[in-house]
Amino acid sequence: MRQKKYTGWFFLLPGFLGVSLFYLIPFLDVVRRSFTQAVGGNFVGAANYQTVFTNQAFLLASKNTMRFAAVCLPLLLLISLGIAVLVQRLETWAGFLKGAYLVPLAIPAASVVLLWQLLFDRRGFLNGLLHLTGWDGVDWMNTGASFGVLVFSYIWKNLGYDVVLWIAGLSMVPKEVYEAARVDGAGEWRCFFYITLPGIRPAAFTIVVISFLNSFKVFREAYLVAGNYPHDDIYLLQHLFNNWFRDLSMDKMAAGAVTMALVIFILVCLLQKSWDKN
Amino acid sequence: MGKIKRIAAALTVFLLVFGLVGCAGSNGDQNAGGGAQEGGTDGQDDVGNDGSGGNSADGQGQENQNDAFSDGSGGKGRFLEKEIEFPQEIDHVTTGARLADGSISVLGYNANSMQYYLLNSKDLGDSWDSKAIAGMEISYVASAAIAPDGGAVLMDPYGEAIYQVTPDGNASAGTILLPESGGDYKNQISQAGYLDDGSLIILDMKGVLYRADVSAGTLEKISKNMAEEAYYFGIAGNCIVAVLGSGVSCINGENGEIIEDDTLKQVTSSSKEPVAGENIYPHLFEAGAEENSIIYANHEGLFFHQIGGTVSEQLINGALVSLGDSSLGLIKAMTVDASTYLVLATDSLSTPRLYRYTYDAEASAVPEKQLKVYALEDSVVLQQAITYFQKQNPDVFVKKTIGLSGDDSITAEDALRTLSTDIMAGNGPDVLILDGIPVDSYVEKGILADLKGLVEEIEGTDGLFTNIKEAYMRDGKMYEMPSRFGFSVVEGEEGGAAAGDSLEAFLSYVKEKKASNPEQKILPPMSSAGLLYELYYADSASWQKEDGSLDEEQLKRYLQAAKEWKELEAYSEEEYNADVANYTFRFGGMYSSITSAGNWRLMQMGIASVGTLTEIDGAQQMYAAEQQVGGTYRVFKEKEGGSFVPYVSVGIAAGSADNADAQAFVKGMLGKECQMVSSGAGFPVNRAAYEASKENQKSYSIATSTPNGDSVGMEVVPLNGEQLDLLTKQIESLKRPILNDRVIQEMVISEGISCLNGDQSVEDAAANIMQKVKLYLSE
Amino acid sequence: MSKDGNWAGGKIGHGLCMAPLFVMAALAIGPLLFLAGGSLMGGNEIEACIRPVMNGEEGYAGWHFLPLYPTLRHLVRVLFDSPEFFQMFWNSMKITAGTLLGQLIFGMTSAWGLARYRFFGKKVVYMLYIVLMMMPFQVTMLSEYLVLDWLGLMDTLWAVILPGIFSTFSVFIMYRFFCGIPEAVLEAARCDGAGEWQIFWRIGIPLGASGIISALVLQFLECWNLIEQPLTFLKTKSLWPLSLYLPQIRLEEAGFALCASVITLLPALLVFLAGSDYLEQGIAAAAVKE
Repeated sequence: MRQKKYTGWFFLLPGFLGVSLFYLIPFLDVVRRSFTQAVGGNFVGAANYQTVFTNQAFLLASKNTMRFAAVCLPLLLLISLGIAVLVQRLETWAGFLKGAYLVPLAIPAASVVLLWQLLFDRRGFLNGLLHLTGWDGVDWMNTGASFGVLVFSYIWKNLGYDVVLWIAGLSMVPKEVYEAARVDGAGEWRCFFYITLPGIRPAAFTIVVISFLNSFKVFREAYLVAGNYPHDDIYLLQHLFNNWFRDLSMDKMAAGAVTMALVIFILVCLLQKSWDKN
Repeated sequence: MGKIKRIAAALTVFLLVFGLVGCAGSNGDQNAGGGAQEGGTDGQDDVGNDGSGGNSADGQGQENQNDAFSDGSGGKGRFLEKEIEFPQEIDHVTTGARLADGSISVLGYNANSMQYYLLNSKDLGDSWDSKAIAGMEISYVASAAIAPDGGAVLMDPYGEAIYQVTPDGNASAGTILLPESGGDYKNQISQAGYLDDGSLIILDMKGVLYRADVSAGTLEKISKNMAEEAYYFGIAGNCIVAVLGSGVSCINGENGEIIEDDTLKQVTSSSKEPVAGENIYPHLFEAGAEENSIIYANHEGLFFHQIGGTVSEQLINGALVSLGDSSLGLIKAMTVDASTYLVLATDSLSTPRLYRYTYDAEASAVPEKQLKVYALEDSVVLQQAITYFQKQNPDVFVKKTIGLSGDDSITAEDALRTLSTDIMAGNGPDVLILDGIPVDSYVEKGILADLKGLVEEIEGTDGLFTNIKEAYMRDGKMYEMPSRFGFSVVEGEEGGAAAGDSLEAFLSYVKEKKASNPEQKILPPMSSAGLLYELYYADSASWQKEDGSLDEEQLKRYLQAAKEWKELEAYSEEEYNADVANYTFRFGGMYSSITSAGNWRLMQMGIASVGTLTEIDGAQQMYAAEQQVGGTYRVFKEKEGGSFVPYVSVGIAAGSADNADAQAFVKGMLGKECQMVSSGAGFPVNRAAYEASKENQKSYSIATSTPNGDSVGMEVVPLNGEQLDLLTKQIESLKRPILNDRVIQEMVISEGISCLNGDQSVEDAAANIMQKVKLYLSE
Repeated sequence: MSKDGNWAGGKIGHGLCMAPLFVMAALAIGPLLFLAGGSLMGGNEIEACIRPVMNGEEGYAGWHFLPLYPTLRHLVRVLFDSPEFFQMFWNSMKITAGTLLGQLIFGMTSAWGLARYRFFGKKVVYMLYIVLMMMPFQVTMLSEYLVLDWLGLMDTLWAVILPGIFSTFSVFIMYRFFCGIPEAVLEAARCDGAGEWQIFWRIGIPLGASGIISALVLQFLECWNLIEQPLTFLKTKSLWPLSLYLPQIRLEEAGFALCASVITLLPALLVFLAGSDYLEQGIAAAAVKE
């Protein structure tokens, strides 16, 4: 290796300066704020953290956010992987299908909101359909079903992108390996478990992180459809942060955000570790 | 597929490159305001600048000048406003014009003597020569116009009585035969005006423009092939500037040809139709000082446009002068020369106003000082306060920021978050209109200044309703003060009014009535939202417990009452929709809903109702109805002490506590002069203004029809001393504000609506509200 | 590998497996057709369809995917009678183009540096980027505002563009692709005497092209749908991008809103169509070709 110690920094630095200016410094400022009063900036030690950890709304929102991630992430990853494997085998229609799955990502939030309102309203399409088939309607947005709606909209929106990423991952597994395995008499399922799964491992990290990231973005839709105080089950951390912001409770918001960042950091570290190990 | 993709890629790249070019182009001329890019919108940055600066604004550019205002231009030269007095006898004006000889003429009216006057001034309004018009017998002048020679024409709506007046005031009668309307109404003349060559142009109800010859009684269509109907028009020389459905067009008055002008087309993006029969218009069009040019005036300001040119130039920024007052009705603009303009208007009390704008090259183009005022929603009350302040302090620019303009996808939460950011970053407003803003949090965080001294100063000079003021004292300090308020009353038959001590008592009274007389309509029609708001105003004051949480039992009673009200009568959809049209409020925007209760009773739709009383005029109307059908009105929950609905509450940011302008603004807003202006939006908190509004009562008549088609009417007359004393006593008895938390109110109304629609039971709705409120309070 | 025969036993099984794919595709495209259909419907038709939801009236909302009485009225209104629509469209274009161009310069080099070199603090920076990427905007909004205010960028398009340029998301995407380039290729170049910059320029960019384009396509969507940033950092409404235009949808305006949203989503769709091949391309395929 001829490369010098600093070559990497040379490439990284211009971008890093910008990131520092627009993201890192603001974030450090948030960390600082988490130890001070909302207005006036007096140092208050860990008092904000104490307030936040005993705050009912924060506990509920954290629980919901984690529950949401825990449910929707595996679901999305599995469904999209399944579809990717199937689509990859298709000879015709593959291009069309991939294109179709990507469409939801392009629809602006405001339009999605209108759709969801019409679909999931008490008098919406879905209940109309249920009514026709003789079922009782469900109040989708104001009962526990709202959680399902949220998971659905997350999967609906992100499925296409994950499928495409999986296909990219799948295409990195050399075809020769499959052929060799098949010559050895391995069945489809064996091939999948022993060749495909290990083969897409490197891609999986990216996909998991991106899907996790996108799970935060579902908030905008949730907020526009159900307002800032939705059903208890879909009250997420961003709802709370938003409301704290409105009430100028920067102290609580900063403490909550730092906590959230810490949890994300630990999760990503664990993820990275488990990937590095293999 | 491959081909499509290639095309898509090419298109994308093309668009992006195009965008980049635009972006790069913009960087060059990006100034302090931060950049209008596309040619036509340059005016945005320099709004508030003078005419000589050569800045421009197209139709779009005018939209947001308050936001677009930038303080970086620093040039000199601005049009300054002077208000011109009319002779004593004039209390209304119909129209005005600049004559061929350069003098100014106005057609005025005295309401008491029912006499019309032709006014003329050779010195731009400093002195008037007034001539009473003789020889005219006309009960109702629908439209009028002044000719370039100083004569005039006054017309009834149907063209049956048209008076041509000579410059020295002698009228002679004539008629015009209007074409049939083709509909089931009689065709009417909606507007008249003179071209510079002296020919009379009229517009009929169907939107067709004619050249009229009164002496011959004939009409001639201006443009034979014009497909679109005109809403109204202005005259610039020999051109008719007509507002059509597709925008503004210039029509040659001589041959009827349309002169193409795309910039002008876009001037009227909203509110095309003028108020019928008022002779006031959203936009005024007039000839400009240069050949082939026009000026137009609206609440955004006064603009110059060369016909065929691609830009319009803003000469006067409405926000800096009276033009910005949206309650002002614009009648006529007049061009004297390139540095002098006049605008004739009428204010909310129908008092005539004439403003003269003269260019002052020494005045700074933009006032150097700035006062930032924030409101979540715009209101006439706020706009009047700003105009008032602007007049008193021409050297301070009031920068109004409205969080929710209503024409974008911004939610209240988004707007408040942006406000929070501004405040925390030290760029917050000086004065805040606190309606819809979480006042408790703001007070807790120390964002608001103590107004006590200021408010008590006004109390010392003008007097305030002490009970209203006292309701806002917190530990000896005061952070907000409503500028106006309304209160819930119950109106109807004696027994109904007496039952207005609680929602249950009222409902059980009306149910009893219904049981004994199932055929009769007991309650007037109300939409779900309207009903819920009305009853919220009436009942919510007592819902909140010591710890801030809501009393679920009270909530249930409220929802139950609304449900029973809704279910008592089976009104048709149209009848509800008639009501929906009246309920356009959010966050408790004010209007008097109870005045219609009397009307409903006249129409035999209901015998009692609960609603909000917001001005003396409302009480006048109730008494007028009671004169015919009997009954009375009382404060709702009179026994336990009624509650009031605050409106346009004002506060000062803590950082601006010592800002003299901010203090002056609040003082002006709560002061007598500003509070006296009637806006139909609440009683003034200022005692002196309230006393003065007693003197301003009007008499008029109202006609309406019953569902069977019978017409009913009532004569509205000023309240007598006894009635006024009762009203004053009622106001003084009001104890506390309603539960004025936007978040809770929204939760209650939205769950309530689904409850009234039968989607959930009262218990479920109450439980849902309780759950959400609990979440809200636990944050 | 045989094309279809082996999969779970024959044609029927094949069909069974493929059916869900098409159901999913229908679910994904349905809303687009819905929007497109709605944008061609007259006001009365839409109103009749969605009244129950908007006004809480009896019955249920219904829909015709093909309008009964198609009209181009809304389209005409959006395209010709709404100058503000165009203004915002170009604002969106400028924001997007500026951001993407900036990312090409800064994002690409950062990702290359992170991916191909070992240096002090590399791991920390990488983790930091991921965490920063995950932070919801509200969290750093105030502090970012202060920075922009300090730089004097508030209320200019730069206030939206600059933070967009340094978004760590695209670095994260490109990083993965750059990592996939075999070290041997680079070593070979070094042996031929290529400088580090040349290697990046001649090998890194061509081999990582699909990654770069993927990142740009995704960033395009981000920029196109920005809501909070312009709302907070742009006070002048004439600077607002299209994402803030879509009016709050009211009953009377539904057709217009639908039409505006269809036009809004078209560029994004276009970009997807153009870039979808790159999105799915693995790095390995490209590397082998060399």
